[in-house]
Amino acid sequence: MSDVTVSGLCIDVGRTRVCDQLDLALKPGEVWSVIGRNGAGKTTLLHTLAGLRAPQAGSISIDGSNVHRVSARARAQRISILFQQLDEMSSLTGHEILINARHPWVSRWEGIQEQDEEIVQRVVHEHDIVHLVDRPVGILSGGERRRIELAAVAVQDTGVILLDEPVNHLDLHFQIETLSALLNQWRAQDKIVMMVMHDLNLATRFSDQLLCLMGHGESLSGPTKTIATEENFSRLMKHPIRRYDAHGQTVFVPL
Amino acid sequence: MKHVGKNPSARRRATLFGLIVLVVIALALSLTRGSVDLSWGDAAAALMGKGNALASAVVLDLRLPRALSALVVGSALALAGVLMQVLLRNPLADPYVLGTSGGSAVLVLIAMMAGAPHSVVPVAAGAGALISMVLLLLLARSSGDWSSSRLLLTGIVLASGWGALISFLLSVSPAQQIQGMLFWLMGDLQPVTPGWWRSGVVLAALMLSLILARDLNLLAEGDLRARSLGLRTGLLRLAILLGASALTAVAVTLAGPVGFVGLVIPHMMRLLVGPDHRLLIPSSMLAGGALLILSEMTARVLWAPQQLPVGVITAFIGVPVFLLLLQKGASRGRP
Repeated sequence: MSDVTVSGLCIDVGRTRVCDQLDLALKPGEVWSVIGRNGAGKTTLLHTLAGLRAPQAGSISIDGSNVHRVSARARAQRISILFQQLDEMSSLTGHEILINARHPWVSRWEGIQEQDEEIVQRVVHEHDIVHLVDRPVGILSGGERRRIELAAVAVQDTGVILLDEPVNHLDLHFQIETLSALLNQWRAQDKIVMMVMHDLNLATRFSDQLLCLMGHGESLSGPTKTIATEENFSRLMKHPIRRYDAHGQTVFVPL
Repeated sequence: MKHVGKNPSARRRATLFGLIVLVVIALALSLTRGSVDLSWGDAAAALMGKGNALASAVVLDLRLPRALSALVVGSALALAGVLMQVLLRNPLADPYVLGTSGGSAVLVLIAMMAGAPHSVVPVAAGAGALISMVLLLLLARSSGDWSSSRLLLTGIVLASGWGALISFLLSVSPAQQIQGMLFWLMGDLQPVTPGWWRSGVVLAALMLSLILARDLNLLAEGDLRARSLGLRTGLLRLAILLGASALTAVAVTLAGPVGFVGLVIPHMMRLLVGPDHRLLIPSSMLAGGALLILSEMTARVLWAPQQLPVGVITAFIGVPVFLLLLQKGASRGRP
C-alpha cells in the first residue's frame, strides 16, 4: 500500500507549460485518469511521475520518499509504467519480457528464482495470454502486444501503476473486459493506478478521480462525479460536448 | 496448469557443450592442415613435446600461436558485435562495418609511423576505437532516438573516412613497410601468441558481460523501458562503450581490421539460442573463435603456398550475410 503526494509540480516541455504548481494526493485503491487535448503533456506528466524525467520544480513522493531521489531499483519496486509506444525492434518472446519485468526484485547474484517464475506463470494464466507468450512479440498484433505489456505491469507488482493509453490497439470487447477486470483487481489490492486516457467515456466510466490538463499549465482535478461535466469537458477539449444518460451509463458526445 | 516458456538450463548446457566441441575440432584441424599436412598423431605428439623436429616447429611455432590468436580475435569481435548491437539497438552493428576497427587501425598506423614504443600501440588502438564509437554516437543521434538507416549510413561514411586516412598514411610511408602494413590492414594474423593482456581483456569482458547479461537483456527492450525497470542505463552504456572499444583494440592489434565476425556470429547465434544474453554471449564468443580459427586455416590452404589475409575469408562470408540481413529487414519494414 502506498500514498503518492505531488506538491508544487511544474513541468515544461520546450515552451509549453504542462502543469504549474500542481498538488495531488493519490490514495490506495484509487484509479485516476489524466485527460486533455493532444500535446497537453499527458505522457510527459506520466513519465515525470514515474521518475524518468526531472520536473522544473516541485516534488513527487511515495510514502514520504522522493521518487527522483531514491535509487532506480527502489523506484522500480514501487512504480511500474506501461508506455504508449510499442517497441518495434524487439525479437524477445512474451515470456522473456515478463521475466525481464521481475528485474527490480531479482538479486544480481541469485538470479531468477522459482518464485519469480511462479508469479509469471500465474499472471500469464490470469491474463489469458498462454497462447501468446512463446512467440516473438515482433510478430504479434498491436493488441496482442498490449496484453503482454499489461501482464508485464502486473508481474512487476508495484504499489503504483502508471498506464499510458492502456487500451490503445485493443478491440472494443477487450477494452471493456480487460480494463474493468484489471482495475477491479488492482483496486482490491489497494494499488494506485493512474492512466492517460484518450477517450473521455472510458475515462469517466473507469476512474474514481480525474485530472484534466487544460493547457498553459492550468489543471483541474477531483472526483469523477464533480469534474465530469459538460462545461468542464467542453472547455478541456475546446469543442462543445453534451452529456447523455442511458442504460445506466453516462456518455459524452461531441457536437 | 500449462507451463509456458522453455527450460533454458538443459538447452544451455547442450548448446555450449556443442560449441566447445566445435572449437576443439577447429583447433585440431588448424594444427594439422596447411602447407604441410600432419597426422593427428604427429600434431598431438608435437603438442606434448615429443614429436619430430619439423612437426614440432610447424605446430608449436607457427600454427598453435596463430590458432590461439584466431580464437582470441574471433571471440573478441563476436562479443564486441553483441555489445554494439545492444548499445545501438541495431542487429547490423559491427565494429568493422561502423568504422570502429578503422578508427583503431588509423591510430595504430600513426603510432607505428611515429616510431612509438611497442607498449603504446595497444593504447592507440583502444583510443582509436573509442574515438570512432563516440563520433558515431554523436553524429547518428537524432532526437534521442537511433534511427537505423541513419546509424548505418553514418557508420559506413565514418568507415570510409578512416579508409581514406589509411590510404593517405600508406602513400606517405616508406616503401619497404607498405607490404606488411597492407597485409595487416586486410586482416592478417601473425604467428604470435595472443599475449596476456589481450587474453586478460577478453576474459574480463566475458566475465563482466555475463554478470551484466540480464541488464543487457533489459537494455535491448529500449532505454526508457530499462530505466523504468530500475536499470541505470547511463552507466551501463558507458561500460558497453568502453568494453566494445577495448575488445576491438584487442582484435585490431592482433590481426588488423578483420570484418563481419561481429555481425555474422551474433546473428547466427540468435537464431540458434535466442536473444537472452546469458546464453548469447558465451555461445557467440565460442562460435566467433571457431569461425576465425577455421577462416585462418582456410586462408593458409586455399591458395597454398600463398597465404591469404584472414580478413578476406571473413569478408567472403560476411558480405553476403550482411546483404541478406538488410534484405530481410527491408521486407519486414525495418533493418
